[in-house]
Formats: sequence, structure tokens, C-alpha cells
Amino acid sequence: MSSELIGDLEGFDPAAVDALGPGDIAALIERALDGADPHRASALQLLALVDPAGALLAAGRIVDEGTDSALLITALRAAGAAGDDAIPLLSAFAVAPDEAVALTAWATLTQIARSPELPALAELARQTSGVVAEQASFALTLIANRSGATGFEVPPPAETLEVDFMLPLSSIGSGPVSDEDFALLTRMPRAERYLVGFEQDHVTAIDCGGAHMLLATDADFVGDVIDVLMPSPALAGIVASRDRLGMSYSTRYLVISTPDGAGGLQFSVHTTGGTQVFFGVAEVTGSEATVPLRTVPYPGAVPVQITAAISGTTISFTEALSADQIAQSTPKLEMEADDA
Amino acid sequence: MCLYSAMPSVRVNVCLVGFEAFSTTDRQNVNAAVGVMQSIWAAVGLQITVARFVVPTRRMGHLIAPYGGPEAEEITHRVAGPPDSVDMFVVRTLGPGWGVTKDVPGPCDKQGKGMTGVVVSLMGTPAHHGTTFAHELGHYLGLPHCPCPNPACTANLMRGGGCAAGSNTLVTAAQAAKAKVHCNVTP
Repeated sequence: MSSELIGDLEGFDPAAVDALGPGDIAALIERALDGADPHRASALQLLALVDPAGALLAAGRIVDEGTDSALLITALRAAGAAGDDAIPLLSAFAVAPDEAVALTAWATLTQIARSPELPALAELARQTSGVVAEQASFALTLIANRSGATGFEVPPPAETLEVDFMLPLSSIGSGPVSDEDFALLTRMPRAERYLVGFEQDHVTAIDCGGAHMLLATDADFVGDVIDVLMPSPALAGIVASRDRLGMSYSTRYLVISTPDGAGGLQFSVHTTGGTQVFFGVAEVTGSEATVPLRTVPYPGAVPVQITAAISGTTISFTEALSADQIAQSTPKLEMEADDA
Repeated sequence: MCLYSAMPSVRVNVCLVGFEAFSTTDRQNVNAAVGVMQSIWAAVGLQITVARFVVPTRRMGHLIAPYGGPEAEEITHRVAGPPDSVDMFVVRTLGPGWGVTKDVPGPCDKQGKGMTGVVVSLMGTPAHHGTTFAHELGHYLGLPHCPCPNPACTANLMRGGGCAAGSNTLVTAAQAAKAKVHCNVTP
């Protein structure tokens, strides 16, 4: 059973994952630890889905082997499935000399670390530089927001892009999530959902340009969304994107909220790497709010004009338009010729 | 008198993402995979011409090791190669799965908002890398999966959607004909 899963080019079939029994899991651990098995990385990824403790155990042993960095990266990602228990292992690699390894350690810490870890992680972050320091900085921001801690607020962007109504535009659809779709969402491991709690009435379906996504506000908050978010910074929720085959959801955007000190609420939407992509300041009236979201300039940015209404635990779009093309002012980065 | 009949062709920009982390062996594996991909498609009359590119880690951050489709897709949102060609981004590790494509067929306009390229990895064994590259390119050129339970798909390059693709290399005439009408293919 697990051999077919491991050899699948484009992810793991959820029905086949569900069918894995104790014998399969034991075999996966064995394969993950077998230095001669060419599919160790895939075995680790599968273990992370079905046996987080086993994944952490295997990751710990792989780390001790002093293995190549590609496998080490997979091991660190898999270890994250174990949540708090993986923090020491991930922290140990946050200052690894190999940038790729350190970046992965911070990206995984972003998913699972909580406020008690902040002082130690802040100290580690001070030892980083360059692109790793940027990733570490975002990790601290997200971890602080997850816990309502102040001092790591996201600053408003210097500018946002406006939709050009002379160019082709598309509507962004939104509505309630179906039972089947929500069931698929809940298969996301808690680490990969950045510890955000899921309940169906906190989820809004979004369709944009062929992409099907779900906006999930954190159902672990008790009460109306606005009442919960007004007092302190928060990781308000995530936007998860469904894969082409409809087999899984993965987190695409992170939604951070920050009280603006003037009765309003800032919403900042980031990629998992920390790039700020959308921003808006909500106008709050009692337990309801209206949020105008605009695109922040970054390479490959697509302008959007979204107005979201928040009432109770429900979010709906009263206006949602997206340009069909990236903005001329924010071209994609160019590839560089390979001189090797 | 000679009649010259050029084979239909498509240009592929093979781009190493976070190239500094690619070892000599990794680069050899990429070169071998590209060769396998070219052979598979040449066997059905489609020439793959390859241009080599890189993007450095400082521009990509943790996307050099993407986890999940959205992070792989974000690579194509952020970086593009020359127009009228398919961007193939190579990462050393990816998960879950060994390759990611979104739209089938993939778009030709790299200024659009879809996934304007494919992401492939060096996951699995060297024997699989070339077929992974060729399989994802097949999706971009318009080929859906050849369904797992179908016996006719057992050796097909596009076998997938819940089963191991192995090192399949077979492309049928019908699949080849479909791929050759993609907007990036020069007749």
C-alpha cells in the first residue's frame, strides 16, 4: 500500500492514506530510517500525515546521521507535524550555516511555535543575517500575533495598487463552504494550518481565476470575529488552496490583524514566506466591520479590489474584482543565465 | 533535392531554484533528467530545446524547498523566463509529491495570474527524475492523467492520480498530437 503512495508523483491520495494500518506505518518508519532506501524523503512526508511522533523520531535519527541537506530539509518539515515536541530540534537548526536548512527551520517554526518560545527564538533570530534573518523576522511576527503579543506588529505598506478598470478584470466568487470541501480542509495537519482551528461556520469559499480557496478564521477564538480581534494583534486565519487533483488543501496566505489604535483594525495578508500581498484597514461598527483590501506591490503582483463584510463569524465579499494580469509596475523577477 | 521537415519543438527554461545549494551530483542528475525528458518527447516527434537558468536563494527565501502546491505555485508567480517558452523550475526537495503543475494545459501568457510554469524536484531516484520532468511538461502541454486503474495506462508517462508512476516513458500518438498543438509549441 505505502509503496504506491510513496511513488505517486503529485501527492498522497487521501483514501489510500486513510487505509494505512499499523503494519504500513511501521514499514514507513523503517523506510525513513533506511539509508539505502531512495524514497526516505517521501516516507517521511507520509509519516508526518499518519504518525507525527514517528515522523519526529525518524527526523531526529536522520539529523544525527549528518545527512545531505535535501533530506535534512524534508526531515525538519516532517518533524513539524509533532508540534511543540519538535521545537527543540527545529531551534537547533535555526542558525544552521546552510541557508536552505535554516530557512526551513524558521518556516516550520512559523507554523507551530507559540509565545513562550518567543524570547529564545528572538535570541536565535539575532544570530541570523540576509534572507534567513528576513524569514526569522516574519516567524517572530507570526508567532507573536498567534499569541496576541505586542511589539511585533506589521507596519502598513507604503503604497497599494489600484485596479485599472480599463484593463480586463474578473470577479472573485465567494460563498459558504460545502460539507465535502470542509471535510477535505480538515484533513490538513494542524501544523500545516498554522495551528488555526477549523469550524465550518468560520470558513468562506473563494473562487478566483480557476483557483479554489477557503478562508478560515480561527475557530479557537470564542465569540464574534471582530470582538475577538479588536483587543490585540492576532493570526486571524488562513487561506488554503485546493490542489489540482482535489486531493488536499495547503496554506496559501496568512491573515494577520492588528488594532490601529483609532478604533479600526488593520488586516495584512502574507504568503507563507512572509511577503505582504494584500492590506486594508477595517471600518468597525460594533461587532461588524467592512474591510477594503488592496494589493501591495511585490514582484508579480496582481491588483485586486475587495470589500469584505464581517458579521458574527461570517465573512462575505460585497465587492471582489481581480485584474487578469500582473501590474505593469510590478513585473516578475527575471531568471539569471546559468553560467556553470 | 532534399525536403527538410523540422520536428515540432518547444523551448523549456530549466531553472535551478536556490542554485547555490545544488551539488555537482544534483546538477548531474538535472542534466540526466533533462536528457531523459528530451528522449521521451523526441520519440513521439516533439523536440525539446533547453535553456539553462538559475535564481538565487536570496530572491526566493524558503521557496527553494517548497512544501505544498501554493508554495510551488508562488515560485512561478514571482519569477519568469523568456516568453514563448515553458518555465520549468527545479528544486531539490518538494513535498508532498515530486512535481507540481496547476492548469492543464498551462498558460502561454506569463503575465497572467495562473501558475505559469511547472515545478519539478529531485525527489525519488535518478531513474525517476527524467520521467517526473517529462510528466509535468506533459501536463503543461495539455495532457491529463492516464487513470491508475486503466490497464492501458500501466506503462504510460502520464499515469497518475493516486498511484506510482514509476519510470514510465510511453506517450501515445493521441497524446503526442494533443501536446503538439499547445500554444508554446512551434509546428
